[in-house]
Amino acid sequence: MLLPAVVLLSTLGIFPPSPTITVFRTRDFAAHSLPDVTVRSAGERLRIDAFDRVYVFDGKTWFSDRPLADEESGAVAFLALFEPDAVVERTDTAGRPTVLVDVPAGTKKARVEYRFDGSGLAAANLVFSDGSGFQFRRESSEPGAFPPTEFDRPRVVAPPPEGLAGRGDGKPDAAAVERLFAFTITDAEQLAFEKAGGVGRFRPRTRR
Amino acid sequence: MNRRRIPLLLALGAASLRCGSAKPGGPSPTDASAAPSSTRASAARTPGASDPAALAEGKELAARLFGRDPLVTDNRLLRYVALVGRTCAGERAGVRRFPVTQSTVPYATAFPGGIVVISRGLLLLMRSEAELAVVLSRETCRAETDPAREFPGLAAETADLGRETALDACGARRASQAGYDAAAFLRLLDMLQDRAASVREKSDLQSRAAAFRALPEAAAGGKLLAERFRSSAIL
Repeated sequence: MLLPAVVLLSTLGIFPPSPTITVFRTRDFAAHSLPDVTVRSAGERLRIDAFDRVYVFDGKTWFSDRPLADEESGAVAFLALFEPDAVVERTDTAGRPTVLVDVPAGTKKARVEYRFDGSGLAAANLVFSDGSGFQFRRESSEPGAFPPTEFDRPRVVAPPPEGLAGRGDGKPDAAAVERLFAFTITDAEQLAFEKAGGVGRFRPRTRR
Repeated sequence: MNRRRIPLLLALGAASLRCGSAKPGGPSPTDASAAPSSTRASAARTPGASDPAALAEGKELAARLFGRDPLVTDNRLLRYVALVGRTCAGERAGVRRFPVTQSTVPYATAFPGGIVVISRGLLLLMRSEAELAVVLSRETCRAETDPAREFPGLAAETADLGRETALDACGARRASQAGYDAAAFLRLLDMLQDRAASVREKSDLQSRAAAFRALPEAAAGGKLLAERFRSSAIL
């Protein structure tokens, strides 16, 4: 029986309900590595960094800074679990979807298969209608401490004001260089950073 | 995301991006304090951040690069990368700049005047602060010995493997001295091998990885700081 894929994060155990950072290693079907997908989860809220984009889920709706483009459509493997348009073909004994079909992915459709374990989502395979696709494998899942602002909705990207960095039009951007050189770090801030990480002036001493 | 194949040597760095000034068989990049006198003499001749002419040249190159690959507007990311770079730069920290560009192409390079550039695309391939520390350190070494005068993405096939290997060693030494686990860099090299667009690129990266494993710093241990990287790099 096919059901709409509307699920509750915390109850279905797709991602841990306590603040957690889960990292997935990404490869395409030619076994080329791609940048990791990072999922920050807390309760029913999610922040997903995938394919150079940020997606925030508030428990009901996804937010992003612009519509999903074809070249970013691999992210649907994670978004589709919480999208009403996806169709569930199979679930596991806990009711979590293990196969989604007809998932809208840019101009294509996709089929996504999921594997879960005790820590939640362990792997996902996404196949587009043209036969290409991605494999995602969980690399790590660690408790995280992140501020509530991590789940702020992404701002809509507007063209940068004239004269500021971000033009990318090929003309030399002296204003960006000025901004770079005006950027200062105090010694106290540097010291605090090194101390917090136990590096630099606070690295462990080794005997010779 | 950008799914086109990226010439591997782009990453780490401009290595490959290769500065017209790179000289095969030239002085190895290394810490001035530990360098043979010939290398120190070479470093002394290399215009540094305190040299107004070098700084002006570096700023001009950076302005042109930012015209193509804009500087990120996120000051938190700029601050974090600068803090890591300065942690490894030691006494030289104050004169270095560590801009991050918005390019999705993975690369790192260094311009005259101590301007060490890293792309967001390369940050996206990393998983720990230790990897970032080695990359920034090796580019700092480049800035001090033979900075790039061409942009990332140009003449990528002409990289000097010997020089890149020497930069890897210099970066490992500085990152390790700062307390980082330099061996983390091997994971990044592995990622780059997976993305290699040619047999030669892959072969060069394998050679660099083999040389890196033999470094004492690769077995010295240290801090990875993966969690701080994830929460601070704001990717």
